[in-house]
Order: sequence, then C-alpha cells, then structure tokens
Amino acid sequence: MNYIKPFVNGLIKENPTFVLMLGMCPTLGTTTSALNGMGMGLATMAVLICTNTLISALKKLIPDAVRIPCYIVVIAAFVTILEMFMKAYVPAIYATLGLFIPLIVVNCIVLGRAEAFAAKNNPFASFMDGLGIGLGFTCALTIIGAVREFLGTGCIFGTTVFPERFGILIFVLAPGAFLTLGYLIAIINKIRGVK
Amino acid sequence: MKKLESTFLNMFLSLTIISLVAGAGLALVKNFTQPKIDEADRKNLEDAIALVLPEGATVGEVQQVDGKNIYPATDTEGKFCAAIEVETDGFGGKVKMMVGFDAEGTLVDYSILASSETPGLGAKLDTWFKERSDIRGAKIADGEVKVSKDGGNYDAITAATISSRAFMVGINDAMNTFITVQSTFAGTATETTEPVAEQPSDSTLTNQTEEAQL
Amino acid sequence: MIVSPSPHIHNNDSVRKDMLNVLIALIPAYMVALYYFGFGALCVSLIAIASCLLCEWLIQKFFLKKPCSLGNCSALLTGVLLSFNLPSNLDWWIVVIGAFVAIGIGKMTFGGLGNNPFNPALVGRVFLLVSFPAQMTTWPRPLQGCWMRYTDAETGATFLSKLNEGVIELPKYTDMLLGNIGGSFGEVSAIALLIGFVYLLCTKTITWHIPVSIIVTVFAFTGIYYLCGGNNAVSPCVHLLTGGLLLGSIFMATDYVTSPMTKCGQLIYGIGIGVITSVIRLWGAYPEGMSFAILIMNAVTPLINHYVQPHRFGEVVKK
Repeated sequence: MNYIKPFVNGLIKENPTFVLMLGMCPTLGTTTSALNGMGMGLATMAVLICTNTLISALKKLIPDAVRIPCYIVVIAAFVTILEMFMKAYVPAIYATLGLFIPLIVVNCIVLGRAEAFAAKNNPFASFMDGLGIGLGFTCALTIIGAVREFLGTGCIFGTTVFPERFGILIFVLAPGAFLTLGYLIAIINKIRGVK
Repeated sequence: MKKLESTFLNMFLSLTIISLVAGAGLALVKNFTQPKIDEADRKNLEDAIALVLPEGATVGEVQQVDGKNIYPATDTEGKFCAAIEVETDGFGGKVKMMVGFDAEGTLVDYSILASSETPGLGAKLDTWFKERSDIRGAKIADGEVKVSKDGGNYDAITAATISSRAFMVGINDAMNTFITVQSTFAGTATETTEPVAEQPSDSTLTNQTEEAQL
Repeated sequence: MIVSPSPHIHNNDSVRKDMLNVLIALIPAYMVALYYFGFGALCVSLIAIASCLLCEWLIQKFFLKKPCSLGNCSALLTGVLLSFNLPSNLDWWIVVIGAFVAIGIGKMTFGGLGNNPFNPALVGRVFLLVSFPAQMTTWPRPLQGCWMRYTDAETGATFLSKLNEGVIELPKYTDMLLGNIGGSFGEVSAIALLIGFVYLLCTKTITWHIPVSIIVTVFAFTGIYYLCGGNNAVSPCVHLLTGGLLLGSIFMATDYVTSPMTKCGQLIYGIGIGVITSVIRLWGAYPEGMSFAILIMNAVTPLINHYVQPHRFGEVVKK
C-alpha cells in the first residue's frame, strides 16, 4: 500500500478547510493571528494523529453498534490530555485559544476521519492520513491567521510590516474571518480549476 | 482476527474497557501535569504582583477583603503597600486586573489579568494607561480617577470609552479598598510607620472635600 | 431567484435614467455639505467616486472580462452615497479602502449590479465603521469658515454619540433642518434631503412606501420610549432629524436591487428597518444604527419576496 497517498490527499486534494469545509468553528474563531491559527492547527493535528492511529488499531475490538461512543471516548481522552499538557507547558497559547481546545472533541474533522478512514485502514495508513489532514488544517489556519493578522494589525507572526494605525480592524474581528475564509476558498477554487 | 460481533456482552465489554483505560490514562497525565499547571498559574500571579508593587517589596499572605484578593506587602523601607485584585464590567465581559499601591497611596502600576475586550480597541487597556495616558503615579489623595470625557485627567482609549470607563471604575474600586486595607493592616505590619503612611493622605483628603464644598 | 409572474409592465426607464434621477435628488444635500464642510466634503466625495469607478472598471476588465458597465452610473451613485456617509475629514486612504470594499466586496463579488444582496455603499460604510472606529466617529464641526482645510478640521461628537454616552445637548431645530450639526457630510440637512425625496417621488423613481414606513416606525418607537420616560429619552422629532435616518430611508433603503418588490413587502421592510434602528439607537453600543438596520433588512429581503408575492393576474383567490 502506498503510504504517501493518504498524506498528500489530506494536505491538498481533501484539504479539510478549503475543500471539505469541515471544522469551520475553530477555523473562524481562533485565526485572529498567524500564531494562534498555527497553535490551533497543531493541537488538532496532535489529537488527530493519536486518535486515527489508535482507533485504527482498535477497530477489530470495537463492535459496530457502539463505534461512535467508543470513538468519542478515545477522542475526548486525547483532547483532555492535550489540554492538560498545554496548560502546563504553553500557558500563553492555552490562554488565547481557551475554550477552543476542549472543543476539538466535537471537531467534525477528527470524528470524520475516524469514521471515514481509520475504521477502514491499517494503523500506519491512518497515521499518515492524520498527519496529512492535520497538516492541511494547520496550513489553512496559519494562512487565514496570517492574512487576518497582516490586514488587521500590519504584522505577520508578530513582526510589524506596516504601522498598526493603517490596520483594517474588521479583519481581526469575527466578520473579517468570514470574509477572509470566503475569498481564500474562492482563490483556491480558481487555482484548482473548479467551476 | 475477526471483527467483534455487536452482541450485548461485546458492546458492554469494549465500551467499559475503553472508558476504563481512557480514565486511567487521564488520571496519570493529570498527576503528572498538575504541579506544572499550578506552578504556571502561580508564576503568572506572582509576576503580576511583582509588577504592580514598588521594587523590592516582600509579599505577604493573600487576604480576603470584601471578596477581593489582597496581597499585602512591605517595601524596602518596611512600609505597608499592597496589590489588589479587582474585577470590573468591561465592554465584552469582566475585566480582571491587579492594581498596586505604595505606602503613600500612589498607584505604582497595574496589570490586566484577564479580559475579553475587543481586540484593537478595549484590549489596548494593558498598555494604553501606561504608554498613552499614564495613570501610574496617580495618588489616592487626589480623589477619583476619571477619563477626560467625564472631567478627569486621563484620555480614554480612542473609540473604546466604555472599556476605559470600566478601567477607571476598577482603579477607583482598588483605591477605596486600599484605604480600608491600609488602616486595618498597617498597624499589624509596621506599627511605627503607620502614622507616616496615613497622615498625608488623610489630610489631603480632607482638603479635597473642603475644596469641593467651597 | 424569484421572478414575479407575468404580465410584466414594460416602461422605458433604463437603469441609467433611475440612477441619474437619484443623483439629481442628491444635489441639494451635496450643496449643503459643500457650504458647511467645504473643501473636505469635496475631497472625500471626489476620492470616493474616482476609486469606485476605478475599482468597477478594473474588476470588469480583468476579472469578469465583461464589457464596461460604467455607463449605467451605478458605480458613480455608489461612490456618491458612500461619501455622503463619511465624515468630511476622513483620511484619503480610508476613503479608497471603503470604495474598493463597496464595489469589490459589496457588489462585484456577487456578480455585479442586480445580483448584490446588500447595498454596496452601506457595505463600504459599515466595513469602515468597524475597521476604523476612531476615524469614522470624529466628525468635523460645520461652518468653520475654513474652505481650504481638509483633514485638520476641528472635530466634535454628534448629538447621537453624545446621547449614547448619556449627555443630552439638544441642537436647535433650525440647525438640524438646515444641516448646521456635526455628522457624515451628506446626512446633516433634513430639508435638503426632503427636497430630494420630493423630486424622487415626482419623477416616480421611488414610491413612498419604504421611506415613510421607516420614518413612521422610528417616530412611533422613539415616541413611545419618550412618553414612557425611558433613560435619556429625547423627543422623537430629534431622532428623525439627526443621524443618517433621512439619508438612509430615502436614498439607501430604497435601492431597487436590495429592497422587496411588492408594496406590502416594502412596508414590512421599512417597519423592520425602523424597529432595528430605534433599538440600536436606544439600547445599542453604537450611537447610530441606520446602516446596520438597512443591511440586516437587505438580508431578509429574499424571504419577504418569498412570502409576500403579488397575486397572479386573473387569479381567483381561493376561499
């Protein structure tokens, strides 16, 4: 089996944000800056890799009728572990992402990949899929965060490009998230040649 | 190995075992990270307290007054000073801040502990009243602090009057608490310096009210 | 897409003719603005118009690759309306951003004139209001006898923003009617705007339903609040004459593309705008809610069109 395919697939062809349009809540809510977007993306990626691998390994032991509750227990456990680690080692990022970390439990990307990929493939392929999808999500969130931070405050990753007073504040606020996401999806569709 | 059938026993067992393992894992991680989390929280608080108190002050035990956390301290000369944690209603919810005063009742510094003010507007609270309209050095004796729109000396954050007013409410609240705390704690902290610390602020306060009446 | 059932009445009014009528109706308000705000008003309006036209041309030429549509004057009108909603001392680059947002995001993203769900000029204004709250709410004082000043005019708050902060300083009614008050430069003079309204009614460019229903609703709503003695209540007449109420209800809410088609639908739409405006003014964090109200009701317009459809010609009403 080709293990590169699920990785590339998740990163580009089935990019969770720009193509599948899953997990819109953290996408819109946490991308106020490139760093926040990246933090959220990496956190989700960590959870996704762990859950994908474990669920794929356990798939034979989980009866079909209770698979969703089992997946949720696994996902919730990993998210809680991640939350505790973030609180302990990166409290600053945890403070800005706050509520969105526990909400990874209900992120449909995580449950979606468990159901659609991990339950049907071997653990290593699932690991690669988690890595690809997670990386795709991280890239998307970082790009959105960078655009919003740049237009809104004149910085990228905290480095000032133009003075803050020229920043278009709306991009840091919620409406700017929708605008940015919409135009980025339009650009990506144009590149992909979707009509 | 064949996939397990969805019989009642199988379902019960697999769900139970997965939950148990998950629970045990969580307990382990919790044990491991809790000290770090506590330490990070404590460090945050200590940094905030150290920032708002005069340099070199020794912080005492936390005290509760009117439901507020007070951190009494003594400065390098042994005089009473304190950091006071107050909450105020901002534009986007509660703003929690730490305000410190020295023995003369002068505001040393403040630190925003938690707020949900609008980024780019109200969120500027953490630097605005230091860099743009410096509130540090305000004396309790000079009476309430106000934004210039309400006839005070401090310029409100442009286009974030509500946050700025909330900030002033918090500062005034802290000032009032400090006066109460000073009279209660000062005696026990350092008896000799108490009159020195109290006298000037008291006399100027009376002057103030007299002026106001005139 | 909802198309009203036939028969359609054909008339010879082209888009261009309607747009020109609206522009003519705006002339009195523009003259007043030039008188009170002078050079600043001139600069802001010219910058807004020029950048709206430029943006429309660029997008038509390079993105849509369609024939140039500048001739129907709709971009020109958007530029004029946008500038009327701005303070006359706004920095030039903010005006340019507003114009590009109005045309680029508000109109062309949806496919150009006729397809935009929201009034483009208001999209531009609200974008600027949220993005540059400080610059958008420092209004120059009128009539400073300084014709050549642009950005360094003396500024002050509008009546509504003071009211929002709990300070009641009633301007004189004559000042409100003539336009001798602070505000976006196109909205200050009630008389000039009403002259424009009469012209639009006479030329049958718009019907009375939307403006009148908005004005009556706001009057009733703020009147009840005033009679009940609410916090910081002022006479409903003041509410009608200050802020962007008249400009919005006569020129912005009546935009053909974004307002309902039937008379009944237009009344519902107007009442909705009136209620939302009053609610924002009385209890909201923003002092003025006209532009938000119009945008919100723009969004509801397809729903109104869906439920309030004209009877088909010759249809027998079922009993």
